[in-house]
Amino acid sequence: MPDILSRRALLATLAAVATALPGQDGKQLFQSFCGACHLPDRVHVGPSAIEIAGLYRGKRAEFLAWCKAPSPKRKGVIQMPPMGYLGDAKLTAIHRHILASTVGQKEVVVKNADRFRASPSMRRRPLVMRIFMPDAGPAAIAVAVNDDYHYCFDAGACRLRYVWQGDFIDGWPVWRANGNALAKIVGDIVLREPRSPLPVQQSDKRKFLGYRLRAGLPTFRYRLGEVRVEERITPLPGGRGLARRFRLEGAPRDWRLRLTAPVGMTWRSGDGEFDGLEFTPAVSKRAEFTLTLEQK
Amino acid sequence: MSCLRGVLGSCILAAALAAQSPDPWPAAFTFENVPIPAGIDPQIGGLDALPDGRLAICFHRGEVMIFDPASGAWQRFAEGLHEPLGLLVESAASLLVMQRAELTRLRDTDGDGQADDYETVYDGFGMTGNYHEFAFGPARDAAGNLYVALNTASNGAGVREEIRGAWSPIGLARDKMTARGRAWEPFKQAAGRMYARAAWRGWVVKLSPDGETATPFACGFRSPDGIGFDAEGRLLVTDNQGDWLGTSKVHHVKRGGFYGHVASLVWRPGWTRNPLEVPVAELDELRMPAMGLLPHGELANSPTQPVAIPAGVFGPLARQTLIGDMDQHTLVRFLPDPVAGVSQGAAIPFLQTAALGRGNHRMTFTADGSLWIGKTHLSWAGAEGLVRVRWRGAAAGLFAVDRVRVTQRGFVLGFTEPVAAASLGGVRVRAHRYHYHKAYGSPKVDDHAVAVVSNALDESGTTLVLEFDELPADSVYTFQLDGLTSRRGRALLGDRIYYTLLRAR
Ligand code: HEC
Repeated sequence: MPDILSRRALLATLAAVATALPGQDGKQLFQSFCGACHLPDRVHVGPSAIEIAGLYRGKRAEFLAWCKAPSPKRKGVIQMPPMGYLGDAKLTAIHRHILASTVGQKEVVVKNADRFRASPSMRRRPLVMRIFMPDAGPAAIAVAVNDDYHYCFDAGACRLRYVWQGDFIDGWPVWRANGNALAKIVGDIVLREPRSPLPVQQSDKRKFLGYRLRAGLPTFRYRLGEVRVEERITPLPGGRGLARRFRLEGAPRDWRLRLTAPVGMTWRSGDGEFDGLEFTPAVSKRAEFTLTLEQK
Repeated sequence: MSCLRGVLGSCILAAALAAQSPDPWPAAFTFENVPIPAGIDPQIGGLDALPDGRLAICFHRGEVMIFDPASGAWQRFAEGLHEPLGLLVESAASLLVMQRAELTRLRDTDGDGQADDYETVYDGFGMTGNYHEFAFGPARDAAGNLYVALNTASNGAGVREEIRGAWSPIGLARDKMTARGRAWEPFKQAAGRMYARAAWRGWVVKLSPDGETATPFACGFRSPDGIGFDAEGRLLVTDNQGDWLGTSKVHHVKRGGFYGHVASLVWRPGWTRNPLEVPVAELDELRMPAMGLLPHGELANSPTQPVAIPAGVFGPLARQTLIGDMDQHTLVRFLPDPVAGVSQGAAIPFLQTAALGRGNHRMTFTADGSLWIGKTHLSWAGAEGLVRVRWRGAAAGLFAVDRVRVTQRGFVLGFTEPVAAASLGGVRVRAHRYHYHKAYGSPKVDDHAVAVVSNALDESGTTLVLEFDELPADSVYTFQLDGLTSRRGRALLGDRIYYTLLRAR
């Protein structure tokens, strides 16, 4: 037994460690500087070592050039950070490691789908969801009123942007990565307001104050100049459409709303008079009135 | 026999490799993955402890959940927030959350355990819609003021037509900034790798305790994911290697400071020039040096939240500062060593083990001595989920460097246990610097071995005095303490020290 631990055996072992080193250097560097984003056998943040080996076998110079100045190539991935600070020797060792370690390896296919699409926290109705939305400012809020009606409120502009009918949003383009995309509206727009219906001046300061949830639906509060507004949208019974209630504090006496024509729907109200798309709240309703957006 | 020899030979090989890089951490700490409820995208943007020891945690898709470690139960508190990346508990019924668009106070006003009021506390900063405009914080000082940090935009994309807040005219024309896809390619270079065309991007903003007064506090930040106070009340902000950052940093932030990333200068009152066209020497003159440089690829690639270890937790390390990192299987422990008002100090790997994993984004402690770590990736390097770390206690020991002090000629290292003098043979010191430039990252510059002319352990064995021939400043000194053990035979936890020296004593 003692001969097993002899000097010769030990020297042989140390020789094995020593020959393993040059390869290990590339491996070590790959793990420290690339491994957070590149896995050996499957796509992660960036392509796998197998894919990279396929692209850069026998192309050391091109490999170095990419690492020093990566440019956007694949869709829906982050920008690779430049790695030029490592220098040519280290990048070459990494290149060698990538080529050597992937010989005969097969790529494991990774599915790219929204695992949480059907989860209760996404499917609950009503649902308020702040996310990047199309045709709105960056501080957008999507609201699923019920299974049918949804709207987009803009917390920057302090106004309703649009209403749609359908299956709310597909947020996967935003959630799958770091937000470099917009959510998709699932359904058809039935109302798009190009400006606030309230008589707000361009020069009036707008200030978003937040919202309160009741029965899962938000009551937005904001200030337009000196006027404090509360706006709440709720479903009409029987799926006929939506009710939109305003409460105003500090509004002048002669306020009139300028509404926008919806598609396949119509504005109604028992709280004032319409003149086309202009609505004047009754004197007793000036501080609080409701409009409905109903199917024709 | 030769076959047996082969087997034992590989045992020796394994032992030789293990001796080269043993993993002492799991012997001193436990690591436990906490299951996240099904249906929640388990990327954690923020977490904090409630007064009763439960945790409030916010997730990638906007849920805020309350987790009770005692029962393992999860309860929904709020939902629908836009990429929340910071959470601060005010009380069991009131949480502050920083989301992309605003700092929000979530209040449960009817006591049903769910927030019903979402109050906008601060949204006085700009958004161009660029994906990289994340918002971080808040951190609270002893007087109750709040501090938030605003990420710059990335030239991975331009800006949207419709933005919120003020626009700086300094730089590429706005109609070019809104180009998309292929049309954006020709302009991205001129935009700057990271840019700050919307108000207060790249700044830390201070809010009065009532949230009414917002004061732009300091600038020069690129991607300040981590903002917090240390046990001495220093405001710490971490920043990510990239353009203008040769390596990642931790800053001690003071009012009015410019911390090196140039884009945010466009929001300095009276500033008119395109920062990309200002001579680098002038910018270098303007900037505050980092308190700690965290070598890229070795210690940290994307540092995250700084958090103070509370008294009574982790034994001898109480009141020290921990910093997370997205890419490396480690946290950073930071030991400040200010000299004549200059903030500097030592960064040391902490929990540097595969058992910790990557993506260490947000941290908090609970009174039972647990460190809770929330992970994320947002499609960059990182991980997911919640990890609970506990020290195995005094019996398991915690042999580590707990003081690093620069002297006139070298450094004094303090240890939590007496050092075995015979194990000091592996001590090596190197020094290097980084470039300050527009390019992305920097190689180590002037990386060289530093000759240790004397190396003396005091009688107690807990203080090691290292002296050099010379001690040039503006360098990172790397101490390699390979193979160092305590007299009781314990391996050193954290055997690299990265000391950012600005000023010797
Ligand atoms: C922070 C994440 C990250 C890190 C770290 C990283 N990469 Fe990448 N890498 C990516 C992404 C993302 C892509 C795909 C980019 C694209 O297609 O636009 C990529 C693509 C590549 C490609 C493929 C280029 C092509 O022609 O398709 C190579 C080669 C590569 N990386 C090498 C490296 C090496 C070598 C390192 C370490 C020195 C490294 N990367 C570190 C994220 C990263």
